[in-house]
Amino acid sequence: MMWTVTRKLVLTFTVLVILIPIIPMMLWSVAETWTYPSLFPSELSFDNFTMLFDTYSLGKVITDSIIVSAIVTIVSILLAVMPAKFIGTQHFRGKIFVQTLTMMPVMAPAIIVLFGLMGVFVKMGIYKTFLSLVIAEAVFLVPYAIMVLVPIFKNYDSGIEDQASTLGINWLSRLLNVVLPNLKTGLMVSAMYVFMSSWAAYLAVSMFAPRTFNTVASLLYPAIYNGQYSNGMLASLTVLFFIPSIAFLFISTWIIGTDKMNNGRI
Amino acid sequence: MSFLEIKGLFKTYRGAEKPTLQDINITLEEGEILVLLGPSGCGKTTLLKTIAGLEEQDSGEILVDGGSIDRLPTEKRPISMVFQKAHMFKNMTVAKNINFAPRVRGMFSNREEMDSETQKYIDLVKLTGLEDRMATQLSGGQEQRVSLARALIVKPKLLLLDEPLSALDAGLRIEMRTAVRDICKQLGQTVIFVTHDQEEAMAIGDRIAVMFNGKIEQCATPEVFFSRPASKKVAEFFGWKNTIPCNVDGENNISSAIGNFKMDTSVEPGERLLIIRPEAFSEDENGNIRGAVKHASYLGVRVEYVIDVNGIELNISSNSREVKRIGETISLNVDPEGMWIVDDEPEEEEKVQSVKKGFFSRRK
Ligand SMILES: Nc1ncnc2c1ncn2[C@@H]1O[C@H](COP(=O)(O)OP(=O)(O)OP(=O)(O)O)[C@@H](O)[C@H]1O
Ligand SMILES: [Mg+2]
Repeated sequence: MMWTVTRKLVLTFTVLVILIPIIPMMLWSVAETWTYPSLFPSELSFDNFTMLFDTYSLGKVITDSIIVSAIVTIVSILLAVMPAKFIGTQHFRGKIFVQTLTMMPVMAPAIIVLFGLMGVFVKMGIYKTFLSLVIAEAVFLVPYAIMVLVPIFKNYDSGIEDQASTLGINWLSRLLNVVLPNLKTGLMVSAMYVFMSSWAAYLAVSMFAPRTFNTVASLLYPAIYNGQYSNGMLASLTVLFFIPSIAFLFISTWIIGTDKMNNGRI
Repeated sequence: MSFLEIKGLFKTYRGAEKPTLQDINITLEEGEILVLLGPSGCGKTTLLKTIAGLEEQDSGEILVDGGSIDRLPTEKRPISMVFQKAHMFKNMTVAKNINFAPRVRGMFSNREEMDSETQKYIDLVKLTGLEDRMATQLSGGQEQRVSLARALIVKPKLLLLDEPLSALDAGLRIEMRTAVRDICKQLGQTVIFVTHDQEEAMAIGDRIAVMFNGKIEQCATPEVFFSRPASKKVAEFFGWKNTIPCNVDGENNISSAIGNFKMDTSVEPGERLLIIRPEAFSEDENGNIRGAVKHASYLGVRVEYVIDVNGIELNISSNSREVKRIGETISLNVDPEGMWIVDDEPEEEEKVQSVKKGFFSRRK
């Protein structure tokens, strides 16, 4: 009895903490008129959203954002897996040093690294291209992906691969049926982190995106500072900003949730 | 030609000063169970991994059923291995763990065959009823049985078992070792079974190969180790205790500080070591070995004494009712069956010490 009451209280509290800042924003985004002192908007409409979509080709912006973040996520995870496996499973001298080295790009001030990259991209002739954007974001996100994956590999039992091969299972089946299921949770967590960080990236986009290219974040941040938009429009832009991250969160939680091997625990 | 032939196998780990495996030669007949027995760190796992192709040998060759397997990658070798630690496929049920390998290898022609084969091996290792359990919800003993079934169902020509029972408690261990032997015999499976437990080795093996420091010291049937161990080290491993310097004259006369004996040996004349099992002694008023009791441990059914005979300490296990006290004199006879002569080999003292330490700390 006591427990269920406590549990309900905790749950309600958690939900409130999460929702309190979001509810007014969601309300603002769909408010037609909302004047003091009424607690809720008196009229609701989707005008803010239609206006946004009219001002920008927002459909394209959202698609572009998803594409950039998805590619950055795949690239970063692919680049992070081998170093993370190496650091996580091998014992060698100077391991701490190597691990610190992988974090270098994020320890220096971002702007310095970005200007450094700019010089390189200009020389390579890819400045302000899609490629330069992906590389720039990956430079910052690979270290974090490695950081998240190293402990995963530390707990990873590589003997399972030897076991599978002595049963005559070839490398492809080993990868698909043995290795990946064992690493699924870790890979999803780091992918989630990388995706969300890329989605929120502003500086890299403003420096390296092709001129006509926008992401939701690169629209949202200046909009907030410039103050040229109504509260309603800002709120709807923010709601749009949130949706893909939340969707990604749900999808990955769902995938992890189907992970019978940890009985659904992360 | 034997079913399995290992010839002159050497293996050195990168960075190691000396080879972990040194000139390993083993032959094994089809359906035979060979136990590889040795202290911790002597290279047992390394040998199995090399046979399985998980480690590469420096030199030497391995033939299975007449064909060399040296160039085959692990997954192509007709060999399965059960590891010291049971590596479960955690994302699968018990049944899937067992039929995963034959399934992806296309060994079943239809669903019925798959189901009946899977069931057959589940029943064989007595896991009936647990088919749909997730692999994460098993006890250590159940995991080991899944590993065994999983290795057997692919019908390997050679099965390698690396201390498969070490994770179990004493009772289950004894039950399982009989089960493992029965199952393998029933299937006619050729097996190399690794253990560091002498009793387990005797219970399971058709033959036992004793390994020290990367070398096979002696390979023979279990009884031989109780009557004719090849060296002092091997003898100690099998419960021989007393090592007494002696002289052998070539006419079966053995003279030592505890007395002179006549014994049928074929050893060359010279300085040798006489070894005697503690239980070979029996108390006898008229016995010709006499000594003073220095220590006595009363173990219920028997008493273990350490006695001093002419400056030599003897370990004795006696089942006499009459218990002697420290300082009392004891008279003994010795059964020649429990005596043997080995070479007085110059010992690599330091290494033997550390090996022993490892061995005993593992058994606690
Ligand atoms: N991957 C490796 N690299 C370097 N040395 C190793 C490696 N694996 C094992 N060794 C060394 O080789 C020796 C033999 O190891 P091995 O695992 O074969 O022993 P073992 O007889 O199986 O012992 P145990 O009974 O404890 O399992 C040990 O000294 C060990 O430290
Ligand atoms: Mg071992």
